[in-house]
Amino acid sequence: MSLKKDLSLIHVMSIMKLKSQSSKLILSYLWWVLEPIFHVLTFYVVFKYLLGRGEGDFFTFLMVGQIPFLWFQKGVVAASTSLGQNLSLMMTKPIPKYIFPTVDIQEVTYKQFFVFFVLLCFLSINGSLVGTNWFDFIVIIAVQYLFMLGIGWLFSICVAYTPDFSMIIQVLMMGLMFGSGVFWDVNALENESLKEIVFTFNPMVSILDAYRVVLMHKTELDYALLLPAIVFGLMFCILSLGMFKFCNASLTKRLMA
Amino acid sequence: MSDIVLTCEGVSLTYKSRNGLFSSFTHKALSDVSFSINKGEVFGILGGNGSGKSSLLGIIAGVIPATTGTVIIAPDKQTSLLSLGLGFNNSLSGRDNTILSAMLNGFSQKEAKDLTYKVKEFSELADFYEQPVRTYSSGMRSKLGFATALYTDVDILLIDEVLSVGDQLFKNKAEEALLKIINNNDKTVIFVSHSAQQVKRICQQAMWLDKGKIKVIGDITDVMNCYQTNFKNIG
Repeated sequence: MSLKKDLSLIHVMSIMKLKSQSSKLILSYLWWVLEPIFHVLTFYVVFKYLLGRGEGDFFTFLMVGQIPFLWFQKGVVAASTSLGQNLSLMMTKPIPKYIFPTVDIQEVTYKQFFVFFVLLCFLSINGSLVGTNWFDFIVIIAVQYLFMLGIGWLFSICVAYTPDFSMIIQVLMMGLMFGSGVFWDVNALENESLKEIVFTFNPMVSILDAYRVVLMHKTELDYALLLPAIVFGLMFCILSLGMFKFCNASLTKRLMA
Repeated sequence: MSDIVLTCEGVSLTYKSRNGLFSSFTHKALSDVSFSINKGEVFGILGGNGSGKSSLLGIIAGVIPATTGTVIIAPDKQTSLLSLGLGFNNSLSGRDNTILSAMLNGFSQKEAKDLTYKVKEFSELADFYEQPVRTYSSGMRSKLGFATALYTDVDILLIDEVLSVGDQLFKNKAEEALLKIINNNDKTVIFVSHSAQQVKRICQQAMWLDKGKIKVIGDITDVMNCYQTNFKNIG
């Protein structure tokens, strides 16, 4: 199949997935928006009132950090198990395997568009959107998507070879959520070398910080901030595509075992 | 010019599955299987449970990698495997599954949508066509799968036990459709069924697989004679 047909298939499969998932729930499509809002509210109550943390406009700070992080988390977790879940379809046609994790990431991304819309409505009411650089906002979304693709593809291969890896992913996601500056400002770290390590080796830190720069602080975005996410994203994408191509037979055998 | 569309040369398949940290289970599903099929032929594969029929179809479809040997398919020929319980997304409706199958066979989204009307009519699923496949009986799944495969214009259709379930009227209709394929000489069908009589009615050539090895191959009458004599002797 050509790339154009693959992309069309990815789009159709993700839309169908959205449709079938929503038809199972009473509140249907509303959950796309309700779920992230509940997440943010829960953490806001815990951090602000129970732990007494969070200064200034902590609710906006939390929303702008947690909503993109939830997109990342859901996309990567769904993609990681996608090969095993689509074995039935794989057993009827030789379909390029990268399609399945991409469908899961794409499905979560379509939902995310609505969630971003709600976030922007909230920020607009809040008066925070004046002077927003929309080009930078789109660039950050594109970089995050690239990074998600790379990680999602790679994790889907890891889980296909070693299903136990899915347990590690859950722990990793939890660690990343607390270590990526969703609830705290990484810029407040006093140790400069530690700050540099965190920004370089955890691309989600840079991505979440970039969202805050564009949507909250309105300072000029330093594109170099996004470089680790682009480099890691591209590296993981190329590595995974190579593995999908050259390890296709062994991947199928592993999935069937 | 040769009319051969498919050749299997020395195909073997060994499964190895891990059943513990340091232990694994190995099973040889196919052993040195070689044969050729001509264009427009309906070729039957007979054999008991675990004889390697489904594994062989999976290898021909290109979804299971053979351990050794090769499968040569004529250039530009598409294969599609139709197997009970495989290839459906249970959460999606029959219509959406048809669209997906057609797109996986290279149709555009619009072409796939146009196809759904024919599939709905042939499959006789009526209102169930819009319901999730998880609500279907095995007979209904068979109808959907067969009708979809019939209209998604593949060159080599691999049918694995799909016509073993469902009502007799639909089986007759499906058999008629397969006989039409033989008459038109445009598609090649490899047909796996537990029903020896069904294979006898539809196929021209056949192969009897036993424990992953070819026992007899050739004209349907000769293969059926050997196959049925063997079971009579056992009985």
